[in-house]
Amino acid sequence: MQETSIPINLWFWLLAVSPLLVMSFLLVKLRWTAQQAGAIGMLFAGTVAFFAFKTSAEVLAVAGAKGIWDSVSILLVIWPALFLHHTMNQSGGYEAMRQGVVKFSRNELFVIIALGWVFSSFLQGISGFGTPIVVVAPLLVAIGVKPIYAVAIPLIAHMWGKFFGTMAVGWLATLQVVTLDAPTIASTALQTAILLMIQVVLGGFWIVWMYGRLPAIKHAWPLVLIIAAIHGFGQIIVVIFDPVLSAFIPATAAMLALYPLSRWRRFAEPITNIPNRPAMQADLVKDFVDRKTPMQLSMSFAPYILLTLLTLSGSLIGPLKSALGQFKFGMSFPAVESGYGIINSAVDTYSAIAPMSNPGFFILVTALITVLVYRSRGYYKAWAIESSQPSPGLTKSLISSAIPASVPIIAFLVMARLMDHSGQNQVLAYGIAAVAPTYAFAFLSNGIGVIGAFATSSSTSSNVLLSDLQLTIAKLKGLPEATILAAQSAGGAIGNAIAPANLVLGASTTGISGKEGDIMRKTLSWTLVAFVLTGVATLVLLMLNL
Amino acid sequence: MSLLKNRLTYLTISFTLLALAFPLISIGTSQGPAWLWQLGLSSLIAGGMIPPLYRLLSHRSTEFDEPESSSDAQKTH
Repeated sequence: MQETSIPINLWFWLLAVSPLLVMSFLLVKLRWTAQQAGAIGMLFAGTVAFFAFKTSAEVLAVAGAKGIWDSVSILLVIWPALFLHHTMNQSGGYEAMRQGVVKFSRNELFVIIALGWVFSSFLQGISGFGTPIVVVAPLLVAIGVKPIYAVAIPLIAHMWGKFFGTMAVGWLATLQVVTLDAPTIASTALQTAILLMIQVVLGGFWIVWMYGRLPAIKHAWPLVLIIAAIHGFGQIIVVIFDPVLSAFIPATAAMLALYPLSRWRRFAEPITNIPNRPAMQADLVKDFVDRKTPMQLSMSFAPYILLTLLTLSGSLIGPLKSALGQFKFGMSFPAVESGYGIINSAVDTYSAIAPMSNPGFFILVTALITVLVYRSRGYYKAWAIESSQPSPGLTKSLISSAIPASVPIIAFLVMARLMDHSGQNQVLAYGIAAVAPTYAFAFLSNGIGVIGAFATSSSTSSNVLLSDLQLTIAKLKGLPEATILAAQSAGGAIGNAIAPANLVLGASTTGISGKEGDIMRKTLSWTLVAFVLTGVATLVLLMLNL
Repeated sequence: MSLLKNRLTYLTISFTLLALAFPLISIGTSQGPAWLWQLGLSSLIAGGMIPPLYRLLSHRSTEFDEPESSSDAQKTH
């Protein structure tokens, strides 16, 4: 992390944090749509950068363009995911799935845990980039979960897999930006997995609480503990041997464990003793009138099985992975420097994107095959007649949902780059470090990761931007680098639960575009509790001196 | 202004302007001429101003907080 000549004082710190505060206030308090709040956040960050952080128009332009490019990897997921979503919706696939799921288990809470926690975590293990949210949220709506909860549940539940998920892309990216010796690397991985255990346990119990408060906890606690043990301890054990597989293997093990768990009488029969279920808008078993669906359960799940197979093949088969990753492209940018000496070097190919190894490619292939098969079997026409709703058409549905989702995602990521290129991120982190005594800083260090993920909507970006800075401060304060980097990484995962781009992804696939602030209200409290507990755990790790 | 009355239309214009900004700025700052990146920056700012402008200009405040009319969530039931 480069030294900065920006004054580190309260005034500059408040200026640096103001874009995030303004955007959050508009989104949560005034309930502006993500498009409006995101755009204001972006313009506000640019204004602060220009007038207070001595950032010239050319630097603003370069930062803005890089932010637009950063959003492409997310847009490459959301457009195909929305295409798949509309395909399922307009063919009766979701209804077939709901009816099939009831036959599998008539226990609503078990199904929510299976889809919202276990399946979303599995998807995070292999895919990421928002795929768990865009795939799972509409499935939860299909079984009767209110859309806001349908987004909040997977958003909270799969956070534990963010850092080591997607075949550990966050971990590998972090190692690219810091210089550590082998023992410190191993210690960092282990301590991160230990800190992520908090998110595993807290996430599991939190979604059960959201479903039905204390009676739901009393009903589901054995299931939560079993899944948490598989996810959490699994990750701790595997990370010792291979961090790249440390989210994927336990997430897959939990998927496999679902079948024997569904045979447990406690989780096979409908729930009768949970009267208050705030997350539900309908009962999985009682409130649905079974309509004749054009397809069987196997055909409704076939796209997700295909998606899993394609993604696994693209990740685990070496020659295929390298072949798909061959085609890359990006554009060049010159070196730029702000008036306060924040330098960003020239790049020939900025953040090259390999579209065919992006998860969106596998979703697109899945969706296209699904459309061909469903159309050849007449599912769309049959479902339009059965549901008495004329189909609006896939293209029209896709555009009317993907454009509103794309605008705020671009705005959020442009805002993040503006803050980065103007030095606002550095001021945020240095400001916390300047006023916090050593142990207070250790407690707050995961909060810096949370802010980074909130600003960039990515745990990987949070670590890329802030890891080196965290290590610099850790050295200055005499704190162990591994523990502080672990805290940063855990915080980066936590912050994704309130990351605006993730809220937009979920809102757009559940038909509640514009309600992003309401979703954030549901996930904000979890984020704060996870932050505090991770801070305390960081202090415990310091005392244990692992 | 009549164009801005339709939510999808104004967001499509905003999206197009934001997307257009990227190549203009990249080419303009890397190879020149300077007016290219200045045009790109203007496009970025204009694209960003449209959503809040829509909110400020429109008097039908109820439109803003409503979810999309084509709620897929409801259609599935």
